[in-house]
Amino acid sequence: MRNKFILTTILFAFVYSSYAQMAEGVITYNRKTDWISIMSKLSYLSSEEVDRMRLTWGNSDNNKGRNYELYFKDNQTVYTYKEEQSESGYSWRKSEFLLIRDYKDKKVKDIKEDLGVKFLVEDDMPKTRWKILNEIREIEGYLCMKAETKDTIKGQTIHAWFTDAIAFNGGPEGFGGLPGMILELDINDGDAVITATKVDLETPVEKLPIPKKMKGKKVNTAKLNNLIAEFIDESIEGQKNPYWRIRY
Amino acid sequence: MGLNFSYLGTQLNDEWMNNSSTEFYDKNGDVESVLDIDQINDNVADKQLFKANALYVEPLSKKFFFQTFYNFRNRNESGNRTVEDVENDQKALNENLSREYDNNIKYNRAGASLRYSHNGMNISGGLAYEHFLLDGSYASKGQNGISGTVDKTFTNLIPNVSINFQPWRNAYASISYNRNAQEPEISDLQPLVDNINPLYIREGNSSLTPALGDEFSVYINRSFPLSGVRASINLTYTTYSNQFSTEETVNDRLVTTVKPINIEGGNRSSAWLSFSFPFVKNKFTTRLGLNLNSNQRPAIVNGLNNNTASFSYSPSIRFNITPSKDVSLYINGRINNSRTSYDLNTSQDQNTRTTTIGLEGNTKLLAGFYVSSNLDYVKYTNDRFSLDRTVPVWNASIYKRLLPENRAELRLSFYDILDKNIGFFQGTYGLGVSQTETPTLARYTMLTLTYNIRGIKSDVRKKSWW
Repeated sequence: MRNKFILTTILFAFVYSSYAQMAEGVITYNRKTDWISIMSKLSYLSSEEVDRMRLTWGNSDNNKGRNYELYFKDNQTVYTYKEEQSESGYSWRKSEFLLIRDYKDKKVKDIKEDLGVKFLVEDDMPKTRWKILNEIREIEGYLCMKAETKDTIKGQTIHAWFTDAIAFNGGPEGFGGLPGMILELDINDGDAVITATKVDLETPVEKLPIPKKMKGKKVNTAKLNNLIAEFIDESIEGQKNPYWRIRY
Repeated sequence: MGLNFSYLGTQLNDEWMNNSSTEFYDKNGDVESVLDIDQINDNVADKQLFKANALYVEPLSKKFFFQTFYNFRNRNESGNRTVEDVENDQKALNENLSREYDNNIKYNRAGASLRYSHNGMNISGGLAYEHFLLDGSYASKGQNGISGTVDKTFTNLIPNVSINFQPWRNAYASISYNRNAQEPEISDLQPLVDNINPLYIREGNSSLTPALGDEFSVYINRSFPLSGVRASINLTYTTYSNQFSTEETVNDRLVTTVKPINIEGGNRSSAWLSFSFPFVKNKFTTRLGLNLNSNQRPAIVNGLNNNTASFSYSPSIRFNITPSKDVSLYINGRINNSRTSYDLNTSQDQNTRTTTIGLEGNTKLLAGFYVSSNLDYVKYTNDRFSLDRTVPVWNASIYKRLLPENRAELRLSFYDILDKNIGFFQGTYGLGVSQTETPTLARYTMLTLTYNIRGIKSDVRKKSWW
């Protein structure tokens, strides 16, 4: 009996340590944005204007999207751009974008550029209310389940596909809190889709790429959300697309 | 790799009558001679322009790119002009003005550039080789008609440097230098005389070479989304090592003969500044603008060098007042002041001014009716010719949207209610001053019915990028 207890304890410790060791790696995501779909939802545009945009730019197959990387280790994640070479030989200035999530202390620390200002957001992790749905899909070899949440500031419905095979409750774009890693985010049924294209759990992450200095205008989540909500209302009233200046 | 092609073909076929009577006076004030012109002109002209461009970009490393390009342009112009003088109801061919011509200009340009692109900074430098081939034939008509060919080849080396980057958030800047080469018009190369205006006779010059200029430009714009402020500045400066100008000879009867020539020197610069901001976001916004132009153009008059210097400044202001989607008012004003001075004869210096004020209002009335009104007031002055002309044009319309989803619109429009519309233009160029007044369609009414299956927008506010 005592031997059985010791064996069970050793097995449990082995499994537990394996579980904790799995929660480390790098996932590459590709984000594609469908601007025609986003603009078609702007109330000030007539259906003729939307149809004209769709005919002019709608069938472009050149949209390769943009690549991001999510580093995760020790209950922390860092999500930012993937360093890439420009294919066309022209380089546009990349807006600064880095999201850090600490799932142990429940803290966020973000660098974002919205509304022409570089913000440093330091706050407690917001609680995302997820509703787990009854759909299953495979992404990059992982069986994923669907969950849904809503962003009331931007009026978005967000669907997340998460897998419990990767024991980490994080994800791209700062989302997390599901019982598994989010491998795909779908904002407003295809307006923006962030999909995992490569999952690397083999290469150990020596250190998370957290910059030594993070500078920006200090705000908390509530204040930034107020600024964004106000800007969206003003832009719609002024017949301008607010998402040219804020992240969709 | 990128390839593109384009083709444009135009055909012109027109007939017009030219009637004029010119009296020449002697020093006693008596009429010395009279030149009457009564001509029928029949002109057919075809133009075809074909362009092809190819571009290839090869990455050398993460930050350096090598770019090669080739541009091709083929322009064909052919024409047949018959001018007949009418005297006592008899037509006689005017051999000087009647002509046929067939011209071809081939343009080839090939070059390469090296670009550094990283973190939003793009710097490129390159060189291109240009080759112009001008090939034309001309013949005036009649028994004593002259004919000939034009066969010219020109080559140039064209450097180009440019820097494009975003110095701050929501900003864009561009600094560039390039050399421009402009080939002469084939019609200027043909040694034919054009005396359609008996006081201003043009002749060609077969020894023309391409004009060469070095152009520098700077462009910066910045916007502040939170406050709604936008600003931009655009500066260009071109200096000519060789530009097209004219050699004019004025005889004692004040008949001017003009020949196109190449001349060294001259420059042109311009600045455009714009600043827009809201007094009340989305309801009351304003835009201020300032445009400055300066031009130094040398020419030859009666064997003497003359420099024509012109400077203009043009401030402008615009107010957009849009309190709701049912009411809008747009007010704009601009004053264009220009001073032209001539080295050789300062008594011919002149100041011109064009003042433009525009008022546009749109509003929704009761029972779904809308009213739109647009008043444009333009005043032209020129101190040398004591010109003081105003042209106010007022258009208004009343309309109603019909059918579900506003699919139709019935509109009653009144154009030029004050019956003052006229095509008026004034300008100075080189050694000349131009002022034209053209009768145009004035004061009329239209009733229109528009149908759009997708519906017509009912918002009376204009879309504005700023």
